[in-house]
Amino acid sequence: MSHPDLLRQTLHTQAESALEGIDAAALVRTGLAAHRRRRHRGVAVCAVLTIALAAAAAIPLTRLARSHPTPAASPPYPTYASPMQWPTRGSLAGDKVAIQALTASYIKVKRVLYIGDGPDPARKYGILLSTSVNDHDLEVVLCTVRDGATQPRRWTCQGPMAPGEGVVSPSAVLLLTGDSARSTQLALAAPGGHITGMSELYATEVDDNGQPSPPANRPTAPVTETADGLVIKAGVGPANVASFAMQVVVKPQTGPPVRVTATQSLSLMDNTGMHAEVYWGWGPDKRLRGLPPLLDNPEQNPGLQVWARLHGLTTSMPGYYSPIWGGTLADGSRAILIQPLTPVRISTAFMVNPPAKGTDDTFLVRDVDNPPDPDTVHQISAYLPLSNGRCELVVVAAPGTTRITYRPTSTSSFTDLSQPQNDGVGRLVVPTCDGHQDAAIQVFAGANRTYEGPIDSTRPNAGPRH
Amino acid sequence: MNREMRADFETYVGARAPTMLRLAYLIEGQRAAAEDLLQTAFVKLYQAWPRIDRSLGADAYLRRIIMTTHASRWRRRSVREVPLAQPPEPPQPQPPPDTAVADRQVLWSALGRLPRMQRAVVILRWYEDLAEAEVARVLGISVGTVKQHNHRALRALRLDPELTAMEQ
Repeated sequence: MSHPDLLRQTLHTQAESALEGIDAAALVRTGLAAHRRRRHRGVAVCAVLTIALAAAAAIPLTRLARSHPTPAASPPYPTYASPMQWPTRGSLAGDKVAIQALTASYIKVKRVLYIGDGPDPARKYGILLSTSVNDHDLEVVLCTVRDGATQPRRWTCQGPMAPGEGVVSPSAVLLLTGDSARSTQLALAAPGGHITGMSELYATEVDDNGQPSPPANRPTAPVTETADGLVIKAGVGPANVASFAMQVVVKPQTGPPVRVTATQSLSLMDNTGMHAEVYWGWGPDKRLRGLPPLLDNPEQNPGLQVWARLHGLTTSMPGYYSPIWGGTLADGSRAILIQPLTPVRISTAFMVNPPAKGTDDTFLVRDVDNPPDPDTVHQISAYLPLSNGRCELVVVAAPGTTRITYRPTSTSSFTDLSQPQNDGVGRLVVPTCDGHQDAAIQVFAGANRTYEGPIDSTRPNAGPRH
Repeated sequence: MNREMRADFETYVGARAPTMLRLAYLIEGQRAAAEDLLQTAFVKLYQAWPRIDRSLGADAYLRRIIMTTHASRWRRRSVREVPLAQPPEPPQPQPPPDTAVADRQVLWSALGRLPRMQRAVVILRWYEDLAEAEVARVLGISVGTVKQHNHRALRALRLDPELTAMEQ
């Protein structure tokens, strides 16, 4: 029996064992009845606690708002209805390359609100609005990068891990992220506004009967804006609490101060302490295409079998996601297009086995960084070296591709590669592996041209890697 | 909550409580904890019942509540989970000496040693048969993180010494 079958069977068998001798519906009804009894008892207590919470939270913030000097007036901005209309601010706001690198570091970026200096002078900070979770709700995302390394891939981004941890309001965007012991508080006021007060995290615990404990309202520390309207505080937060929250006082360009609150009511950190890192792949959801030789045995754990067959399965090696394409090249070499999974990032790589030139080791022919949005990838292509010194161009295009054309030099015209078969894979044997810098391909899905540009492995830094 | 909504909720409890108890048991790994989790989750669902769009199905909400409640309870425990060689509460009655049953016991034991989130992803993917995007919504994490957890969990199971010994 294969592992997947055994896994499914085990889970179903164990799940059934949970019901032995138990009336689940009766169990739920008992729980609800107990809840109703507790609720009746707790109404009065909750009311008192709520008043205490409101009073306790308000006093220090008010005190801070009074004591904190009002920052110098900023240039007037128009009134924006939504942060989606805010201009990009920060010391790198005019650096298009840096902005492009930042947006390429996260998925479904809708707006860059800030890029530039922050609390750590050795780093640059970026604040984004994204719709990464459900395509609808805007999320606040905080990215950082070591100063001087503002290329793509270098940025580390962290968005909210649960609803409520990020707030997008016309007055300010807030983010409260990380676990309770290592959280980061971020507040960015609307253009022209300032963050004049920020509570430290205040925590509430809920006892076993569902009653909230009195809030541990912490003294409010003075706020120093790292830039106009921006406050970032890292490494703050109490430990071992059920929920925590922060409140900021925003002084808008015009009008009275506004209070905005973000709450983190749960943490989905796993017990390895791993954050919700951004890993995004082009291939795993696509079905495998290509010729069968590499896939003559059913994959038990997608990707791992191929990895094990090519490298031997060792724990120190990185893993792979499902292969996207597999096939046999003109000299009998076998090639797959696969996504290595490393602790840092996922790339897309062609692998050839056995290698065409020499060693017994399999090597990555090239890798392609994952784009922020996998749907924008229309092709992955490379010149794959053959054992006779020639090369085979392989273009694996997105499912639905109907035509691929190739132009060897900038002065020649595009001609069709072999009619895309196996869902859009075009191939061509060429005499050499070098000197294709001016070559280009076009990819079509019906009448639409979805890609026109160079072959991926002719781009800088692409090439054989042993 | 009006009388109609309450009746609606009662019907839902009768229909779905057993299914959700199975899920809670897989998540918690212990019957007593699973029963607690089920009760807490349904209480939360009851409180949210007037607000949720039941035309979209309440199961998704309940799954999400179960997972977040489990995460919250897990965080609040003063002593965090400790991987054990054997699950503390093996299913009753004891299975007969059968190879398939023994295999399942070994795998169940290995599942218990997975980190919490990896186990949650495996259960939602392989027991509930949810798509990766749906798992991401239930757990409140990105699709990429779901893939990563699933990948790591399967790798951990594959490299688990007891499972390896079983195969040999």
